[in-house]
Amino acid sequence: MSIVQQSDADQARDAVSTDGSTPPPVARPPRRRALLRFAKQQPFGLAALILITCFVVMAALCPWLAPYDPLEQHRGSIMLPPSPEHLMGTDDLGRDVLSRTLYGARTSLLVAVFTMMLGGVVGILLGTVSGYFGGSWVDTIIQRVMDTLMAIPSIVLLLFVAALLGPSIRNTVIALSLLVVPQFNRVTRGEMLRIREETFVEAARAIGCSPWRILTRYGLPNLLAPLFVLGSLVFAGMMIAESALSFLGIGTPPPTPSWGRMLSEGSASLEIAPWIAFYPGLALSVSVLAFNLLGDAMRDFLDPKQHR
Amino acid sequence: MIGYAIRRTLYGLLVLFLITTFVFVVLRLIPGDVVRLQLADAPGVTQAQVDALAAELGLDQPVFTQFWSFISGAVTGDLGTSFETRLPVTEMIVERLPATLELGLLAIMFSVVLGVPLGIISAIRHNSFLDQSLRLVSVAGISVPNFWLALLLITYLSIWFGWSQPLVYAAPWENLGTNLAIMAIPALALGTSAMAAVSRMLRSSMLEVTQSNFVRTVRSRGAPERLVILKHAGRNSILPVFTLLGLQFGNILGGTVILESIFSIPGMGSLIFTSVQMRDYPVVLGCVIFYGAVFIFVNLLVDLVYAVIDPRIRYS
Amino acid sequence: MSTARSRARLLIAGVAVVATTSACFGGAAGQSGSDSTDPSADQPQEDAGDPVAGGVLQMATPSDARSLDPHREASYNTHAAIGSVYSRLTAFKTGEDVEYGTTEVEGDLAEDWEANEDSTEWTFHLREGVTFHDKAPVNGREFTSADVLCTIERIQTLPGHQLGLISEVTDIAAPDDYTVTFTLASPNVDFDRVVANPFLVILPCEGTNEEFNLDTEAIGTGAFVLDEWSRDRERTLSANPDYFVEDRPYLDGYHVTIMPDAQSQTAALRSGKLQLMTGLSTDARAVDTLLSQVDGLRLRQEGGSTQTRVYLNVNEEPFDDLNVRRAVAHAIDREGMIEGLRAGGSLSGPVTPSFEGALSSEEVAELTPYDPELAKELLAEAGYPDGFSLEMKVTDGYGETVVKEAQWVQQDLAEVGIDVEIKIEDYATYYGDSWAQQNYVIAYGLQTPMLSADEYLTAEYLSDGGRNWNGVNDPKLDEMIQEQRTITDPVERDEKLQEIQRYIITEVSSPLSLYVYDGQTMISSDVQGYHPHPDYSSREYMNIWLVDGGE
Repeated sequence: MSIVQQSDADQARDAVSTDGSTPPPVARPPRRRALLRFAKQQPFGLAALILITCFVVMAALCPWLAPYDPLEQHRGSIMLPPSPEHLMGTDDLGRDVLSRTLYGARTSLLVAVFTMMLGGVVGILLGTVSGYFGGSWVDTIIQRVMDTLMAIPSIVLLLFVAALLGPSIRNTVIALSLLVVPQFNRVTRGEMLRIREETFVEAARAIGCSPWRILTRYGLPNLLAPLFVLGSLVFAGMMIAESALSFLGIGTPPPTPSWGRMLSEGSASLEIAPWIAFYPGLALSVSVLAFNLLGDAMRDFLDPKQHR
Repeated sequence: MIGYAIRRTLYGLLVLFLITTFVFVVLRLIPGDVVRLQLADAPGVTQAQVDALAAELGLDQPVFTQFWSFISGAVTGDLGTSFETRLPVTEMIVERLPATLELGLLAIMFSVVLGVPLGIISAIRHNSFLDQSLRLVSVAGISVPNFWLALLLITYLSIWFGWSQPLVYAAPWENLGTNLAIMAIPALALGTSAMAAVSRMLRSSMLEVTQSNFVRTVRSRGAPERLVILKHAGRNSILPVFTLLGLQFGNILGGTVILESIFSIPGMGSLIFTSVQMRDYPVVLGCVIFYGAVFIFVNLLVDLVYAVIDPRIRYS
Repeated sequence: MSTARSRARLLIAGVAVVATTSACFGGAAGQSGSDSTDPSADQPQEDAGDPVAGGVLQMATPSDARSLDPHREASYNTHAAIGSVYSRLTAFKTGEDVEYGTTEVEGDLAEDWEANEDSTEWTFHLREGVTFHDKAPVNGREFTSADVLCTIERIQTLPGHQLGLISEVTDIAAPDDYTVTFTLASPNVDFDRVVANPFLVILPCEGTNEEFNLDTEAIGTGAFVLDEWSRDRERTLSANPDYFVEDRPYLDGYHVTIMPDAQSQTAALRSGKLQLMTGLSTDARAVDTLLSQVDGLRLRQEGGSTQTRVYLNVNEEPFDDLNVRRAVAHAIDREGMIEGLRAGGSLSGPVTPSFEGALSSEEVAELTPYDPELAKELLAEAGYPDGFSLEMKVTDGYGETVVKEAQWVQQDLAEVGIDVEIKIEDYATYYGDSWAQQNYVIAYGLQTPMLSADEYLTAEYLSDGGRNWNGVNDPKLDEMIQEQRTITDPVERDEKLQEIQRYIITEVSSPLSLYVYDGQTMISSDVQGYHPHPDYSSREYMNIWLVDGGE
């Protein structure tokens, strides 16, 4: 299970050159023009962005878009194939698959967003500290802890958290965050180590800037590009991970609609009622694809070497 | 170089110790009592029976004593005895290891055999239509959950073609045909995402190398583009892929947990899952330590090989 | 109890081992008349002719035995694994013309037997010339009464269910090699049925003396020899050439694959690699589809004895109020659940309806009709006109169907104003920390089948019962349960048992037994003569034969 692509961190790091020809700290073209340029250079990225926007809209507006209450069991219409009343059919408790798929977007996005917030913030903080104190005992301790998290297979880590805390959306976020932290930590630390040696940072240090000021003034702005890329790739990984957890019955608890849970519920009746699992599966794959494409496109776009 | 290797090994051992401690503590915190679970269906269990079983499993000792006895055993290669089967954990791991290892290696092979050509083609024809569509395919590879892909394959291969995998797992030295027929789908499902990662990484590292001064020089001498990429750029750009595979190995080991169970492969992945469910602490602990050790070892190896191949890398 | 296997998601099977534990009790106790559907009733069976010998049967099971030792392991998996390897003194009858789940016994190792006048002394005359399988260290030696003594003595030194079965035995003697006499502390007219229990298989003295490891090896006198057991992978059994029943077994052997994933099992059945798939509990639609896809596939559907339950903790608000508990009972559409989520089943009271002395499904339905309006009234009466909110504990260790049932109950309760939030726990937590510790307010789950009406009542409803995990403490009920045990007249006792169950339903109302669900077996067209017994012992495999000898 590639719950998280551990290589994502490397992919993201590629977004910034590593051969010493660092771009100046904050010198990017104005944003609006950048967006246009992005759309022009990265057609897949643009398509992905549009798809993602659709999913976000779906998630936000599902109470108005969904024809039925996603939890309501229509007892007389169990496992009905797609029809005008139920465009995507009904599941084995008689619930409307379309409504559940729409609401499932909300669950998946929520889990991924909160995971990124929790895991991302912790990972960036640890990475920054670690990188700033690179080589010292603080760095060593943090890095060994990160190594530990990476060396335990992700699914086992998730099993532990689920067994320890029980399945719920909150605990899914906690579990997944554990996987995200080392990746953000890795990218941030690498960048920090590099920036630390830059002349402008040395100069800042020489004139007596506090570590905090150096971090916020010079460190974080330089990190944004790789973190955006990583974020987008990890986001995709998190959506898959959420579905894997729910598939194993240790993610989103029923009856809350989640794509992973619907896959799991529907896989038992794959041959008699394929629509139960097909639509959520499609929605999941397409949205994960979109986030992956966006990540790739951003990496190419931000990578100075790609358009020499 | 040697100093670097020693330091890395020591760090690896430290991480193993951290893993052990972490898993040990987590397992004790997880609710659900193994003694009660094992006696769940003996009607009218007495407290004496509960105590006797707890003593038999060594659970009557203080937690620190348990931890200490585990560590002192582990150092000598003794990972304790399973609560469930009463077999030595090392024995269980040795029995289950070949299947998981094979599955992992097959998945890696699959990812390399398909991922490398895809990456190279993408790099040669970079930004062409072919490049774009190959990238789309490889990204699609990581976008379908592998358990889902596996289930679809199982169900539809049997419905459409009346085909199902052989019933019983056979080790490759027992019956290679059976073995491969069973391993094919899970290896494919597991390898798909690694394949995508490999081709993506190879493409970008090749592009990076082809734009370096060294290759520019070669190119300026009039060498054909194809030769430039395959001969000169190829060797240098394969290195990051190597590192990537080391990291992917961790993902693949993790992936075996679900796929082995779907495909009835008696490997370590399925062992871990049931052991967590049954609260068989020694087995979980043993397996996770083992996975951790393999992961650390593989990555250490990758880094060392890397250092040997690429002398530019200095280790301070 | 073959929990909701078909829907149990892959790895859940490992946990289901726990859930299925002691499944053998259900039939072994000898409760008569579980309803079963003869295969020919569903699908007209072609006349396959006379049995022929030969062939190897391929079957699968979702999880493996943890040990082969029948005295250390109460699990269904263990008994299914060794049931055809070992023999018992007597065994329950099985066969085409025998009622499913009968309590009638026939001789297995015993040729005949008799009891003294007051049924306190039982003498069994053993078959002569029976030999153990030809495997070291037993090496095909003859079976004698000494082996029975060894087995019984071992049982007396180990804890476990089998000890309870023979607790009334005060003395056992072997006057000669082919005679064994049991002396009982109190009369038991059914002792010949007690020794038919699969927990009382006869082991060779070499096993009880630890000359070989009973955990990993099984050497018996049964129809099949265990050739190889590869844990969590496969079991290979071959016909015992010296089996004491003439012309049996028909099969050359059978092979069991451990396949945790239901989808893989179905796929293998569809492609013809598997011939027998037992322990399913899937819905009618899936079964119908499979039947239509595979030529000649037959379905065998058997009434189960596992009850689905809503557990209400009577010590916790609001379920300390009888009206609230009754409201919950009336709010659940149990017949709808069976129809919507199971392939079949029957409503159950506190005692599984097929048991002696149990309330019939019809009477259970009358006592607690599905009536949401009444439920609302009861809630209002109890001071909850607007309902209340709660957390309901459920385990996914019983499989996906049980989780689905919990969601069904959730909606039914919501209709009368009770909002429950489902909290999923893994089996270890559910069992160890919630259910058995009475650490819940409301829970949904299964109950492993018990032996008899008496066992259900004493274990679950006596204030100090071993499985009273609902906090029921009713002196009047205690008194009634104790009283029925002293009644000797069977008819009178049944009446008393039923009276107690009526009282439980109307005056106690926790745990709420909903229904028992049917289990299914899929049999491919070339398999004949499969007539199982709910004791799961697999002794009856000696009667299975393959059309054309499996050619």
